[in-house]
Amino acid sequence: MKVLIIDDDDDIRSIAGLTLSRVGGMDVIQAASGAEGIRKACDENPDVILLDMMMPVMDGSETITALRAHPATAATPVIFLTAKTVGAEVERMNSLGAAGVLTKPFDPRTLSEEVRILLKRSSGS
Amino acid sequence: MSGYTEHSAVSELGIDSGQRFVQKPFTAAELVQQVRDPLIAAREAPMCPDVADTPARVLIVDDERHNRQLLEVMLAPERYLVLTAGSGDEALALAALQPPDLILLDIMMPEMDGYEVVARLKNDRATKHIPVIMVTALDDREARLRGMRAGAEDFLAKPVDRAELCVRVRNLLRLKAYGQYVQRLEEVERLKTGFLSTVSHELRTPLTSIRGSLGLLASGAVGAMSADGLAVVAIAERNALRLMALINDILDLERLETGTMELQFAEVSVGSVLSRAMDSLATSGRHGVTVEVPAVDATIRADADRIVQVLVNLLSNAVKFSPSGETVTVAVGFPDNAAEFSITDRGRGVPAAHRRTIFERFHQVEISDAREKGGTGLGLAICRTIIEQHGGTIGVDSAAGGGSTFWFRLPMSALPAPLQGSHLVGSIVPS
Repeated sequence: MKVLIIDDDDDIRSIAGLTLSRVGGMDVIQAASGAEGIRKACDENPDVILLDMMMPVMDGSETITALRAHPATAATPVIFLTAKTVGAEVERMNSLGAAGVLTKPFDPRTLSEEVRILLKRSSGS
Repeated sequence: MSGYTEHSAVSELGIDSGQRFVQKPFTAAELVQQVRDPLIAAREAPMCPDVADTPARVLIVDDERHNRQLLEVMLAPERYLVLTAGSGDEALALAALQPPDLILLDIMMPEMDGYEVVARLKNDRATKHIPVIMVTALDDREARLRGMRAGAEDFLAKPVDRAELCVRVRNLLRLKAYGQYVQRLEEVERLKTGFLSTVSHELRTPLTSIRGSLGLLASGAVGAMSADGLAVVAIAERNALRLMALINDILDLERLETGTMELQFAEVSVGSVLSRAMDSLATSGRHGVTVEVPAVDATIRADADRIVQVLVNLLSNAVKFSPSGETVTVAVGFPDNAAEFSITDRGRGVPAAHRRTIFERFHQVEISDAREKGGTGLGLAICRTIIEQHGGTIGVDSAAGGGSTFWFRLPMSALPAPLQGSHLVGSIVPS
């Protein structure tokens, strides 16, 4: 499974990347901004995108909207990986067309499994 | 000619406009203070200026000098700061320079009449909020309607009655003050939401890297570690989680107390909230304590997520403080048109001196409890806030050394369905 992580925080990208590759056995691509993420999503055609919500210039909402609008990425499942945990914010993220929302800080031992569960749930719905 | 001669009132929200910082490493109390101070200030700042500290500025616009003087004399006992203008142009210039709190405007003026003046005032973003009373000898319906359509708030016919003038001016000033009050409340609400969101994000982001790194080390995914190394990593990870729980509790409490977390009331099955609480407990419980839960067939009106949060908090406390092998008992009753939940443990009990204060922030019976039992010191304060926001009450009955019963009571909006006994339908033994 190929996963694209879009997060402006270098450390979180590294940790999530290591987690998904070493624990989850996934191929990981990284992007440090919404714009770079959209470009890599089009070029690399990942199976799933892990997207941070609060990013400068182009935040998670704008990024997912752009991904949904682009024919090459419109169907790619997007999971928000976010520090926002308030119910209303989570609902809003789901309403943007996300396959699910995972909250920070995540547990590296379970993250890849949670991603797979959300993908399975999303494809079954 | 006249103009402003005194200082302008400066609107103060009473909250810091700049960023606030918590110096690392910070104590829990410092963090709480940094989160609370601006919120408390924001909560207290927007006092409605029903009676303003500074005199209101009233601008009288009339081309006849004696008319201006007459109104000025009539308003003198009200102690307003009265300004005058002899033409529409002069009035617009004054209003743009430093907007008054109210304008008394003559209609029949040469060059620019009152209708045009009021229309221009209401089309200008800087002056459209200024209430205007049109004052004119024209006492006919059409003139009133035309003035109101142009945007005037009120109308006074000449000859002006002093009492009527004063009442109308006072009322409009009060309305304007309430409008500003509402605007300030909205601004404060935006600041509160933004602040909580920023604190939440800025604290969680570094913790994500810390917890993630420790988890990777502990999992062996980035290389094998010695037993001692794993033990040290486990300590660090446990404390990172404790800090996370503290941040979550602080934010929950602030959201509840500042109204940022609105309760979502609905008809809720008592059985389902008990079941959900037990599910959460099963994943976090420990040291072999049995929890007995009754079967209850009843509905309450509540925010289910928040009631589950309260139950999980009380149940996990009960389990934590129970000796291994003991039983924690949950009971639900419906006395006096209320739903009463109680959780009884066989722990050390709560001394009488602590039974009220135990629901306050960071209050714990033993100073070592937070460290040894893994709590944040905020759980019961959160429970109390949630229950009080449901219009209910919470408390503890205890005999020191003889266990405790934590209970909360929620008002019932409707009579519950008949209670189907309180027999045991499930129990868990957290591993």
